[in-house]
Amino acid sequence: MLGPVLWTSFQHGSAREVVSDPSFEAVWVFSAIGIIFSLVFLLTIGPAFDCGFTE
Amino acid sequence: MTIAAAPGSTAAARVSEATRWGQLLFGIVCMVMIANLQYGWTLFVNPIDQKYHWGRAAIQVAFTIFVLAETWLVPFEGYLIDRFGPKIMVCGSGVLVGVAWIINSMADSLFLLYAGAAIGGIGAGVIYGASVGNALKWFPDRRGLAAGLTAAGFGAGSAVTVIPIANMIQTSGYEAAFLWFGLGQGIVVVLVALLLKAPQAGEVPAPARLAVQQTRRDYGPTEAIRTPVFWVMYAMFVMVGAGGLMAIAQLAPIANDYKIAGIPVSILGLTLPALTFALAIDRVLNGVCRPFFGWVSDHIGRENTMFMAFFVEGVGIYALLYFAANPVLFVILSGLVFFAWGEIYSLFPAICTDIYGRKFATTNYGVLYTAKGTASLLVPLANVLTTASGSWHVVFYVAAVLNIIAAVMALFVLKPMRMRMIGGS
Repeated sequence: MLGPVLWTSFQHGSAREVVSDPSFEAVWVFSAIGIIFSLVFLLTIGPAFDCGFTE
Repeated sequence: MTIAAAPGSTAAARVSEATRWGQLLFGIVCMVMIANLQYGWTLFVNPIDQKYHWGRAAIQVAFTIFVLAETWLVPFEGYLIDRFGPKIMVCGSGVLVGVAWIINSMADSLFLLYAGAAIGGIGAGVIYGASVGNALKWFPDRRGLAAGLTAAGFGAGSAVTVIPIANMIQTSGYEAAFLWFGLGQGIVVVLVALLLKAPQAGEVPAPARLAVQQTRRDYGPTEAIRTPVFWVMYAMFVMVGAGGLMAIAQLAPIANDYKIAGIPVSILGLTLPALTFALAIDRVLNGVCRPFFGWVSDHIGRENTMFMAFFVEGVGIYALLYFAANPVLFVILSGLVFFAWGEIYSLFPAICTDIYGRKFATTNYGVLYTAKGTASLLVPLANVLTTASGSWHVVFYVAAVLNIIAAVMALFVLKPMRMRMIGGS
């Protein structure tokens, strides 16, 4: 029962459409650059989130 | 205001108010369930260190990994949420956050602890993005309030579970707390996720009159990041986020420098040591301010509210610099700083969706939300400033100035740019 329930939540587009969408490419590149930059920065300066990191 | 239907879609019947408030509630429940992953973590650090002697710094790397995954993957995850809907994404993420803490309960190496943190960060990012995104989509007429209530679930959600977790760690060990709370949180998210849905065109009421101007078209993420107004918002988010983080991180050093940390302070019948009081106020005001300022922004406009909040934040930080030696003023002013800071998590998602539309609301806010990650990288620079200048005064000046600049930018840069952009859409 769980399968059909989840599957109906797909709104528009297939997986193939997603990977060929320039927006998809843009967001994963953005995420990847952010993580790489942060890792390089943190390896240089040290962990940033030990003190006072709250939201 | 009109909301354009997606091309090729047919308008669905309008849903009842109970349906959309229900959707908001489901999102808040999901947020409460992931709050412990960030706010409960601190309870586990010492017990893990006592058992394995890895050192606090090495254990805290796990938290760094969690925050990186939770923040920077939201654009990517947000895109999938906007395309495939919140149900399947949050359902899968419920499994991830459960598995993350189950791994933590069994982790006998740092590698496993870090793997648990990464998995938890991915799951929490999806749940955060989906919950905020869904609130933005269901409530075009009360976007600030809806985003604020949802974000408050994350900010204040751990308040109800911190004591039970602490008790379980003490009585049954941290492994049991990770296992049972991980299972519980994961199961609740999976079950609630089955009830989540994004609104179809026509299901959400289109109010005739709004205090807040909204776009008539939907921008994709590649379009959004090409507009200058997006980067103005990003810069403001970083400035206010970093300013607040810098000031908050210095609260303990200030209290210790002035030797007021342990002095009992009585306010409204509650008596606590000054520093404990200030930190306790954080949880409450950091949660309360989000729906409050969000609601205000629904009535007087986003930029006007930003100006007010950021200006108060800047003045509060500056005043704290001069009056922190008085323990009562230290508590009150630190409370003011917390109160005027947390609203960035309701005002920015709301204005982002006002400008770029509903269809990619989760993705576009996800990209903007990474400003939180950028801001947090500036916190160690504050420590460098403190070390170089020999005191925390410079950090406070910088934090206050950043907030005042952001306040002025809200009125004199963001507002006219946003009006021109929406007017031309």
